[in-house]
Amino acid sequence: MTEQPFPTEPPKDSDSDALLVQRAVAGDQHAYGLLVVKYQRRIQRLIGRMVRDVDLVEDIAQETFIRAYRALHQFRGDAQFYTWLYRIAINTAKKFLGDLQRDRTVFGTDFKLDSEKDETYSPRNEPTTLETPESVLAAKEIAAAVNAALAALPEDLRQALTLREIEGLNYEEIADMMNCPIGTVRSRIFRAREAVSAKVKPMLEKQTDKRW
Amino acid sequence: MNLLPENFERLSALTDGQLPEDEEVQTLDWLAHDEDAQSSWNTYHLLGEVMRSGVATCPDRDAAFMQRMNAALAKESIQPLQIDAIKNEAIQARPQDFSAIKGIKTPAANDAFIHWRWVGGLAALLAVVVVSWQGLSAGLDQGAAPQLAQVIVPTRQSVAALPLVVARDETPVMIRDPQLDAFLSAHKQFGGTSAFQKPSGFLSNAVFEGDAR
Repeated sequence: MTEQPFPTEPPKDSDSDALLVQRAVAGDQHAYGLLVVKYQRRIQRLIGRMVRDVDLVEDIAQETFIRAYRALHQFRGDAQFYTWLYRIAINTAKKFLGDLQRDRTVFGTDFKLDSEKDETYSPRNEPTTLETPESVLAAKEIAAAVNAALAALPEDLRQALTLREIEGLNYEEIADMMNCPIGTVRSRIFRAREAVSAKVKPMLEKQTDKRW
Repeated sequence: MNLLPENFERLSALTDGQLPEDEEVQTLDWLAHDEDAQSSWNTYHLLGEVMRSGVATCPDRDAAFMQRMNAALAKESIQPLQIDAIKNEAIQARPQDFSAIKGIKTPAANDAFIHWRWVGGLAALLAVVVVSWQGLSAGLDQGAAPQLAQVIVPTRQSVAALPLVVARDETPVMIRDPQLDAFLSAHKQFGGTSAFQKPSGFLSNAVFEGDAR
């Protein structure tokens, strides 16, 4: 299996990650839980490129976070936390897949290696197995609601949020591009998030009667 | 429950890692204990993932995943940072600090290249081979049938009757055996020469010479 390339999405927020790691190492498991919430979808998406079975994806993701938790004291902070976590995820997935290869009954359905070489591969186009129709529908509805809420945003709010979430620019860079103070950037991003959250949160709470 | 907008704005900045240091700790403390803050933390990150990937994950699967994670983490224990930091520092310091630690033998620079024990063993073996070769070669060169050395097996009586002469000087003490001295005197022609009848100086030094020599 060829190695996954380094992540191209730069979450330039290593300072808060480092602070959360510090708290987690000091024994605050809740701080680590916040890191899990932050990165679980990204890690699952990464693993999903290697494994099609959604249950297996979650198992590998869980094992990734457990391994990272056990090795947290080794995280020096000289690299971004996500980069470090990314490596653990890749290695964990490889180990899982190596173990699965020994079981020929699951070889053909539980993983595929083509996604690495297939440039047209997109998680959007690839249905995952073992997902219920309801969960697939719920995910699609949430994605549609987010996109609709983004489209309804004022241009300056949408631009600020897009520059932050998709381009990965920090507030200073966004302020330079939009020719406004950093405080204005911070406010615009917050207001954009709140506007979208107002549409999405009811759907999230409706789908599950349990708090995340 | 703290629903002040400025708190959520700080949370939004924390999500981006753009919160000033003096506000980080307070916001994290609030986030650790406030359910609405945690809900917003989750939603902000979900929003970012949807924007980047175009897809969303199923909320109930997310919630189930977090429940399993929390259960798994509850079984884990993490070592305090201080202990590991100290251990790692000690491990890193050790290679450079040999000279300061008594009793620890600093390896020689060429230890990896020369195994001195092997050299000593080979040298001893070589000496034995050379001595044996000299003895055989001298006998063959003289064309005489090999003479069997008359071994006088010392009996207890003979040993007891023979006085032992002990060298008493600054050189290492050797207890002399007259029978050995007699044997050496009888076979003196074999001493001090190499297989090629040339003087082998170092071998002559290897025998203790008695008064008869």
